[in-house]
Amino acid sequence: MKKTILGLAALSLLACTKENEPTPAPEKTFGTGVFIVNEGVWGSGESTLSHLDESNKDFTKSAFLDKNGFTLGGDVFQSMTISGNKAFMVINNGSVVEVADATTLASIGQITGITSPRYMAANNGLGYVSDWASDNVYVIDLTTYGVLDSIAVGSDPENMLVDNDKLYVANSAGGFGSAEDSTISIIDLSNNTVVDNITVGDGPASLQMDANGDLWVLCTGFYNATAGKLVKVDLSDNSTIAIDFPGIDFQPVKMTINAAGDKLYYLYGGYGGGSVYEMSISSSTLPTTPVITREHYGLGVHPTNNMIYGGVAPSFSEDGWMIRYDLNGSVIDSFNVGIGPNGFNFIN
Amino acid sequence: MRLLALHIAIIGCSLFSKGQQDSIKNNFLEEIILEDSRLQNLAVGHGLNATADTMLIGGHSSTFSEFLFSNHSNHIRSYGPGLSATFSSRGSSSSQVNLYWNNLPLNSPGLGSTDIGLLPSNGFSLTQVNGGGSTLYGNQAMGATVSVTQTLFREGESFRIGGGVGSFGKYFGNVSGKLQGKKWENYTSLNYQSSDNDFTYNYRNEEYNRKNADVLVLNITNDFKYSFSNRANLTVAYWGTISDRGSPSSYVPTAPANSRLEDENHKVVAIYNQQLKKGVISFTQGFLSEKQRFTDSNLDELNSTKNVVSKLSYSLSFSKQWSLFVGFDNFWTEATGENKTDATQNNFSGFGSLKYAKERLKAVLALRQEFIDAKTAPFSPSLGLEYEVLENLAVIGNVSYNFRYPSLNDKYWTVGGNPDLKPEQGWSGEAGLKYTHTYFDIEVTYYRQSVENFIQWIPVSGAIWSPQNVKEVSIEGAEASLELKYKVAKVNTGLNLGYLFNNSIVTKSSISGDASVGKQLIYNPQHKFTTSIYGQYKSFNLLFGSAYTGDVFARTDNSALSTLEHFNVLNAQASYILKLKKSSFELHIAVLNFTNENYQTIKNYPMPGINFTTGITLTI
Repeated sequence: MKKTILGLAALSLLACTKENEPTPAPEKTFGTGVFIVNEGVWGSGESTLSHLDESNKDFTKSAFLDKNGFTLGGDVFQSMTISGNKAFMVINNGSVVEVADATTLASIGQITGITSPRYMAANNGLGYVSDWASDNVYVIDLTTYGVLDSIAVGSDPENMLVDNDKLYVANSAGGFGSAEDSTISIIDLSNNTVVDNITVGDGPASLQMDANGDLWVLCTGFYNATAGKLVKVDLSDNSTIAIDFPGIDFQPVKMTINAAGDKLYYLYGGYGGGSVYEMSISSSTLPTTPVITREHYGLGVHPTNNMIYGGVAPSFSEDGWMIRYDLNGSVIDSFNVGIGPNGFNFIN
Repeated sequence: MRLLALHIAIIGCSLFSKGQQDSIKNNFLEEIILEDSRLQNLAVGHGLNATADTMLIGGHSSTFSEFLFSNHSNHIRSYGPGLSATFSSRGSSSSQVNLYWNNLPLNSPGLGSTDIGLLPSNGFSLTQVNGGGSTLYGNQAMGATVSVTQTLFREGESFRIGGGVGSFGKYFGNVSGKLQGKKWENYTSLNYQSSDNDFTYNYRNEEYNRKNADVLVLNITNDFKYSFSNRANLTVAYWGTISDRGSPSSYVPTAPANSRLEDENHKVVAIYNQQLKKGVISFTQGFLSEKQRFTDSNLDELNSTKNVVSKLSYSLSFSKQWSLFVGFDNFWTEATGENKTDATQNNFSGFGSLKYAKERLKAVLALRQEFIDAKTAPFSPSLGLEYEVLENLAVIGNVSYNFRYPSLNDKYWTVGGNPDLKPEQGWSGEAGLKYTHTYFDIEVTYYRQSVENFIQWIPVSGAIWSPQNVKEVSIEGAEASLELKYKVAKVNTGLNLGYLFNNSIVTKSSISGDASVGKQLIYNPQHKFTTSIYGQYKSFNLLFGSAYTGDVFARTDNSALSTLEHFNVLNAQASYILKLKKSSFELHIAVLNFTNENYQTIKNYPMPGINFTTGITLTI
């Protein structure tokens, strides 16, 4: 009995302490800076979103978790798209697109029913989510998060790009049990139908539009079978010019472009990506030496601050790094991010 | 009554007891079962950690993994009850432990480990020898060697039928029988387990039912023993396993829930033992086949392996003190399937051990050379010593060089398999004290192991993962156990305590900037503490067990986010045995995880809270 009373007394003390806690510091917001997409380990059921405010170097390692008290809904966090002050986080192996307030990261919903979502493009209040499992692009209502329609495209649709009321879809399949594909699909967004397919190179995965309005497609090649290709598509007549990569040992990935739209960047030559290469859109040959020699898994080029952002994944069983470089490839600083930093989302 | 008392003693002690099972083994032909000397030789100077009898603990309803889990040396990684699960011992990996049944390895040549979720729930007893055992058991025996033997009946019994039900749609049943002639015995057993496993768990503060975790496993065994004379005997045994199980995703409720695993395994073995003028010779010829089919919405993959095992061994006692045990082992394996470069592999090895036993001293010196596809595997010597310092106090110690050859998946998986992998290898040793008293036994052991060429699957290109020899690991730890038996008035009681302290630290890595250096290996607790208490009064038995597992890291950098919180699982079991003239009924009920501990053994794969099983067994 004595013990019970003591216990109760202890409990009430605890209760008192709680009430007297100081009010917490104002919550972080994420309206500026860069989000870092950390894939997480396949099958682990969790992935993380990191954030850096470049103005004051305020870094948050697990921003979504910190805000909501739970991790993102699954693993293989593939990509993030911001539209209408909402952050859409595509979690491939959670079969879910997490929706959060883009400023506070408060969870506000989920898009479900898509088995293997990869990327999302947004246009006119509609979202377009590519899905490996069904080889469809799903049309999403971005206010109700309901699936409105599906558009059949090629095999393993990956990156997409919206331009001039058209959606360009890279059909990336390059082996691993999927039918191989070498095309991009063009969807007319006025009626959500495929209006054209263009053969580019084997396994097209990344798309960028340059300052001249030409579409660049980076093709990985089929695994251990065909070489990668960098293909320029003249959208006036869909004609293509291709530049071959040297062999089948490595696959080029993660192509991005600078804000001026005149320099392409991609990873090539190793682990899950490779070194960073830079190529002028006027060049007709591939660069032979990288601008940054180091294994990267994720790549981004900041729209205003002239920095290259590299994601480093030492192995997928430990946290990775975001390293910032100047345009000459010299390291500026680095941040310990989550597992498998695969991409960056610069907040305009 | 003698039998009953024995039964109770085993219920209570078997979690950690030593050698109890001997008394329930049939004495038939016992003298010249040669492979026992392999285990006995290995055991000299090692912590012979535990024997557990699956028939007698767990009320005929527990699973293999529960037995292994109840041993303080072991750590189990399970996707859920009855689902895929592996175990490791003393900070090893699950490919660095070996299980043997009738001289046949149970580890899958493809996976390199045993899926203990597929093993039957009862009718077996386990003897676990901790520490390096490559010299006598070859490939993989780095952390522990577990001998699995059938213990279907005690003396005077010949038929048993039992079954029961449990929470989450669990059903289990078994039938076993023995037929016997003057010169032969035949044991048959059939074992069925199924469960919906749709237990509830919490995700983002809401309750969900576990999806796609259902289990159906059927095991059939038959053991035929024939005695030609008191100098020669033959055993022919068969073990078949068929299963159909869900392969659930993590606890994320939206994640895909349509992957399935179907397994079909067959093992057949013939063992012939012959007493010669001098010594005993033994031949083993075994055949194993395993098929595993994985399906989900996109994939339908069948992978299979065939394995031919041949063993020849000879043992000779050439004086009262000296005995010799020599032999050859050959394992031929063929792997085929969607995910395999069709491949074959042959492991041939020769070994020998010399044992000296006089009064207070026991010593075993052993050597092995293995050849894998005609290439030499690491040479493996070992020395084990036991010395009785005082009448009840023995000092034990051993040192050995051990190795683990990469599994067929490691070498030939499409894509990513790496045929150039080197074997994991290194020295291990231990030293300890054993104190034996009328009422209690105490054992304390310090152990160390180094592992070079530690294999890890890492991404090498895009989505492609490949196993590489990337790390060096240093393992160091200590174990302590106490076994207490006491009779108060008419109540038999006992207490077993076991504790493991383990540091498995990565000392080097070839991955640049690898944050795992200096950190604990994933899925290896630093602390494990087990308790079991039993009491028996007349026909009533009570058993209480708990297993505390310390924090475990799911990531090599041991980051805080990857921590699996420590947990303590408490189980209780009661049984009542009604003895009739020639038969006995046993009614048992178990409450598992009765404190409703929320725990995981694989990060984000929930385990069930409080649950029940109950059943009845008739033995004639």
